[in-house]
Amino acid sequence: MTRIKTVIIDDESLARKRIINLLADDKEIHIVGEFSNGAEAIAFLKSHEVDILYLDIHMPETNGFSVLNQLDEIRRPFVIFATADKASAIKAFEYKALDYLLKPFRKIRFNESLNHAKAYIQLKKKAQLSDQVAQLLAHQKNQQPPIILADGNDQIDFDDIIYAKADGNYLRMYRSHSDYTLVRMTMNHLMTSILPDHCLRIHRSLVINPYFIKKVKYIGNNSFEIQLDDDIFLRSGRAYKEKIAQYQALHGS
Amino acid sequence: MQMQPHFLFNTLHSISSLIDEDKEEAQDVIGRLGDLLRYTLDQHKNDFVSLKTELDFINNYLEVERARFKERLIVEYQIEKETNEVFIASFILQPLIENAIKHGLSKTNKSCTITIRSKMEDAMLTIEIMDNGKGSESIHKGVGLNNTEQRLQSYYDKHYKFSYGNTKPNGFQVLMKVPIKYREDFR
Repeated sequence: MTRIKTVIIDDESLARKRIINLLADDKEIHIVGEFSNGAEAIAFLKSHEVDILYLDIHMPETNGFSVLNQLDEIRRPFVIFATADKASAIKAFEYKALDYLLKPFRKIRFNESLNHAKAYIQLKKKAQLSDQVAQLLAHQKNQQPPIILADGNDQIDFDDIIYAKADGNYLRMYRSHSDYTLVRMTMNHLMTSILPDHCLRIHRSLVINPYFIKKVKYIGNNSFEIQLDDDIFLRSGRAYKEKIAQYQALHGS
Repeated sequence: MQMQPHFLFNTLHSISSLIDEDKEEAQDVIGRLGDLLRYTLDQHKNDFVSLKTELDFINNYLEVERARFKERLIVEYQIEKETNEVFIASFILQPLIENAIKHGLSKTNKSCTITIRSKMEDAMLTIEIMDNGKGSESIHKGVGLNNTEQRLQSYYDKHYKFSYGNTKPNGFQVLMKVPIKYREDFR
């Protein structure tokens, strides 16, 4: 259940109590502050995150609009004005108020504005969540582990790799029949992040670069023999028959 | 008399809240508001009433305001007994009291005392209304003060005194002196 942090500002205690009583049965609402003057409220609102603010307009020394002037518009709660004076309604909406309750208000009208506020809070929370996810993803992307080469080289040109073979936590990246570089990487990472567009998995532990394919020959028992550059011959796993047949159909051989 | 809309609506809102908080006080405020409304409907602006009648009306008005402002509003009456039966124009004090609330009490977070004083002085009825609220930064004659002065002029021609101003250290004071008239003078 969402916890909706609510603050009430009105110089008249009975006016505050009216709102408190109307909110009393709502389990989502948590009244975190109740203020009889603007100055104290501003101090509180500057240091606490609040979802809904019920705000009177005519108050001694600091009126409702002065309170809003002191708050950062982005971090501000949703504002519902509650006043006996209808004259400030236009101004209230210039201040991006969510609603304007005229005293004395009825429960049904009060609840309308509360539900309205709740809908906005949900939208805001969703937007914040998707922002967070986006940030997290961006963060993860930047955090991609550097490619560690086991032989001390720090560079590898994947375009030169004819095929890769799993070897424990490493992949052997073959440039020729016998020349390979050990790279600490999983097969999945290679296929999805490093070479998403030019690799073909032919075996649980083998990925080839199709660019180097010379010939594909079906040798029975759901298996193919694939000839690559430099007279490299590899056998495909049975589970990959479909993939290779598809490739064959597309490219011929 | 013109009842200020914000006064009426705020009072209704207080009553709405009092029904949850204190039923008996809610009924008390409704009773007083009823008296206020009846008085404003019954009395004509140019009627003369005894000071006592006018002060009863003022008292009702201030008690209703007290339901809203609670302990922030303090009222002090210093009424010389012999002034009670002096006749004055109805609603002549109410706008001044309303000013004291609007410009004195409503502008400060502290409590505010409104003092209403009446006495016989130099064969005139003297009424003073004081508050120790915010005072006025620039004294401009608002509708309240203007109307009051015009009415005094029309009833008493030149035979009255009317003055007002800030008091030290804070607050505002209005002084009114009018000829002494009794019920018999209006027959």
